Amino acid sequence: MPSPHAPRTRRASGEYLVFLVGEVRCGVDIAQVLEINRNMDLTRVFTAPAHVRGVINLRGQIVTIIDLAQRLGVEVEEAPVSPRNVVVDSRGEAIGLLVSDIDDIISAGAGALLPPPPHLPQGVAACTLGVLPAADNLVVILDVDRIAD
Amino acid sequence: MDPGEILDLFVQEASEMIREFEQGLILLERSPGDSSVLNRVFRAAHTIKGNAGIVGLESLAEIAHAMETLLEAIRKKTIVPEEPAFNALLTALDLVRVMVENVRAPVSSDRLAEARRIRAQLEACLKPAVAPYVKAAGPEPAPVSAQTATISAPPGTPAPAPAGDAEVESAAPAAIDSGARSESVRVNVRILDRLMTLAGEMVLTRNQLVQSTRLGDLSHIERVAQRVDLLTAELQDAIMATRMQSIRFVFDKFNRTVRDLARDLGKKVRLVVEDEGVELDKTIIETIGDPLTHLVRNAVDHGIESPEERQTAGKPAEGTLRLRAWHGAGQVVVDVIDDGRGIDADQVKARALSLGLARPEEARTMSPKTAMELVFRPGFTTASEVSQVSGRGVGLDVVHANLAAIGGTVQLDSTPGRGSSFRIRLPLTLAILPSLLIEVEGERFAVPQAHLVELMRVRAADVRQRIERVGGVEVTRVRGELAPVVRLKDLLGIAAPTFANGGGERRADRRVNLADRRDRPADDGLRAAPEKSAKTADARPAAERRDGPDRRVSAASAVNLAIVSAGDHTYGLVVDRLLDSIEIVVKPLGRNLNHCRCYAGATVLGDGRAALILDVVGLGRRAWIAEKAEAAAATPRAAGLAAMEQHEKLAVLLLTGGGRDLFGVPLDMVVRLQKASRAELETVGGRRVLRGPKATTPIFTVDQAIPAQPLPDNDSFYVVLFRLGKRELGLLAADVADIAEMNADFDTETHRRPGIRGSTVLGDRVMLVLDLREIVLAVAPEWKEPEEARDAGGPPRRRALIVDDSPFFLNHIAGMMEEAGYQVTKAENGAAGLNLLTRDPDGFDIVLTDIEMPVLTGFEMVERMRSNPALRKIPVIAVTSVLGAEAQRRGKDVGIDEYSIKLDRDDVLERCRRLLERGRPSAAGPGDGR
Repeated sequence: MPSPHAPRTRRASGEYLVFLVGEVRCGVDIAQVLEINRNMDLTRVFTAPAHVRGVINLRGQIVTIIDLAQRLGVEVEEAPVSPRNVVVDSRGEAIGLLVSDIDDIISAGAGALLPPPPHLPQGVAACTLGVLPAADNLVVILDVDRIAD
Repeated sequence: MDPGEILDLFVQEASEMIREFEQGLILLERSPGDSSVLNRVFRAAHTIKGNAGIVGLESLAEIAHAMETLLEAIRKKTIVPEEPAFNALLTALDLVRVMVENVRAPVSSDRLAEARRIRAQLEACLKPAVAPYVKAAGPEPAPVSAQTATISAPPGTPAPAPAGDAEVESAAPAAIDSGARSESVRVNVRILDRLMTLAGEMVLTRNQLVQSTRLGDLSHIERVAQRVDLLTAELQDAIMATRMQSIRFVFDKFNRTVRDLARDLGKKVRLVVEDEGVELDKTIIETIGDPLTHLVRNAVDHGIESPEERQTAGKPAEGTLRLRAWHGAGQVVVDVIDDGRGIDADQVKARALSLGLARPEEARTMSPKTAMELVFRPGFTTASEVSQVSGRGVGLDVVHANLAAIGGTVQLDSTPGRGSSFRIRLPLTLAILPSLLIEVEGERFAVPQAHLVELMRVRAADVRQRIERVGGVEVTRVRGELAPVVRLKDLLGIAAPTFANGGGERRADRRVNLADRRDRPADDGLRAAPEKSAKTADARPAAERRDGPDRRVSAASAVNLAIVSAGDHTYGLVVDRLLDSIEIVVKPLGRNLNHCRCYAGATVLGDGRAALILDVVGLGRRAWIAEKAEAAAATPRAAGLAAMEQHEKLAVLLLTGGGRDLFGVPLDMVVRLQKASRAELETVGGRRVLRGPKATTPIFTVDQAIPAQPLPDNDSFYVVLFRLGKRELGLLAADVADIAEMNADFDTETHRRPGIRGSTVLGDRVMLVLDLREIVLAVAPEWKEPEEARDAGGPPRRRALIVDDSPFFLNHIAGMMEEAGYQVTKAENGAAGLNLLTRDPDGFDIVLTDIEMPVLTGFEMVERMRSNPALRKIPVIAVTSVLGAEAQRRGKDVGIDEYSIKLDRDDVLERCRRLLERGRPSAAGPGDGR
């Protein structure tokens, strides 16, 4: 499903959108982010894989919503207070990532991405491009295509 | 015109000429004496030559000229055309085709050399006494050698121009053009004119809408909105029509394919094409090219045997390959049928097992039909060596996948020794789908109308009867066949929250049989223990309860079934609610979900929410429908069940209203049908009437009572004349479509509203059964006979009890009796009827009853009546749709006084009148008349 916007260049823009998945701070290249919304009017898709929460109608397009916590194998203790859909462009298709909360936008220079530390949980590590140091902790930068596949 | 446009035109016309030439030449090969075909072919070559010259394509013109010369010789009969000549001409045509495709690039030297060679070949054919054309080594016209023909590229791809001898072969792949995507379509001017007209109408209606919105006139806005609705539908139709192409476009190519392939393999094959003018959306036409090519090549390669083999088997040496396309139920069906050696189900099974494509338990219980479908599994190759001719054993699974991608299916049927038949089913268009919305556990899904066979609402009391367990499978009877029944909820794993009766306790629904009570663990559905039923006893009086003494199920456990068809298999889906019929726009699901077999896409509903479209075929596979159907059919009970209890039929006159509305009027209500011109219709005192020579008839239209499309502004209409009480009235219709026979117990819930009795699915449309009385009363409520006026003066009204389990007939007969002046009470079955009679023995003067009813049949009820002194004297008429001598005899024995056909109103009323006048005949003698 082609995304409603023109395909963006995949060069790392140096800016990352940071959000919370459970307690884990994750980020994606902002060039891949199409929009952030609060659309929780999900239609469940039965027999779909567990991490697919459902689909929504986004201005006429049917967009799949992936529960990022489920997908990455992150434990979520209590129901998130302000869940959001981060709609990203993956291989020309618009896909929604359900996150627990939106945090911030950070900048990082080229080459600032560090290799992921060994203690990352398996599910997260499999979809990680690298980590960025920010304030007092690390932000795990995610590979959007890997998540969506 | 600029040179680019000129070239475009050239290419377009040349392509047509090439097609003409090829078709004609192949025909000519079979009947060389046909001079009209010869002329056509000649003209095509001539045109190509002329046009090529005009646009300066010298080498192309030269080849065309050589072809023309050879054809001229044939025409003049200086040479007798034989195979070498035809081969040469076709090879030349292939080169012409390639050159036309590459018309903008300069001609390479390789191509020029090729052209020279081909010209020489053509000239060689001009010599009448030339030795039989030897398949010499060196540059050969392609494709020539036998079984081991190596086609260097898969069909459809234009080959690159390699150097040397291999060049000539490169022409061959290009010839097998399986339908490259083109960027333009040809559209009939009529359709364009229609679009123009519609655009004009849209403009006018748009103006009206803008104006009425500004004025705020709501009723006007409503009217204009209706017009917009109608116009949009027509516009949609017209636009879709522009994309439709004849399937001939695809079929014609196969003449060449079959000819060449058969020659290569040393077989004789005749291609027969039957297309019945079938048209498909352009995208679908383009996509079926490849799968069809594969099937056709498969048939010639593996299916049809060599002439010797065939003759040994007693078949004609020439095999027949039939390509057939036709419309059926909102789908297009394409058959590829050969009379070859067929496919042996056991061999297929064995091969599948050896390849690990099927499990041993699976294979053991598989029927031959299911085993056949194993050929579609990935990795299956039917030939022991991978045959290059068929496309390198790419496999039927690719055919299957390609078709599934456009919403199509393919099935195989075969008889070893006799032949095989592949059946492809395709949707007419990809974009917009008429469908039915259903609801399960609060979730809504769309079921494409094309797959919908029938809607059944089984009342709680009937569930045990209508849905049975046969061979371990729950089935129901649909039009004489047994269809497996599955719960959509279970199939999709929609978590069931509920319930227990009134307890407020939430437990999982563990019913095994649909007829079981919900709060009992799975059992065989026997009656509940007495203490349980006491606890949940229904407090309503016995007469009101739906099922009298049988209190196993509550009224809430009625079952809604959507009967769907997945190709050859029909099955029933249990859903919670049947909602509206709507047209939806199909949107694809994302890549995470497109492998979900259960869904064919998604759509956005009117309230903005997304809803999934069910893939009926995929669901059927998931539910093992094919296996279940076989398991049920295999039991001895099955045959008996299917034959039993054919539903009562109702003859219905089909009418069309405005737009796409389809209505039905029970035929027995129709007094007469006549045509009326617009001039004969008038409006008098705010009411429409039909001015006739003798009388003026009040006229009604469906849209006066229900929201329906207004009738189109035609010059003439049809008037359905019917009687209501003492009046003769007319219903206006745009057209009378047909007379159909439908099941009397149709769906009376989904579309129920005043004016509509119920609905059913006919073919691929929903037909609404009209209640004429309610339509009339909606417009002229003052015509309803007031009850008080009746009772005040005049003779006391007779009281009739009507007993029938079919809601339609119950209402129909009750309405009929009420019109005739009776006071009517209704009962749904024999037990209910008996209860009413027992409670109030003096309350009824006459009883009209059906025979076949659940709980207590008509016979049983009358039997008990006669053994009750208080009820003995009440006359009983059995109204039935079937009048058998045996049944009549039994009826008389039991105490039924008269028999009448329930749809013959006059007969029923006459018998009632007579019985009431004279009372019961004291002896049970034979009835009179009918």
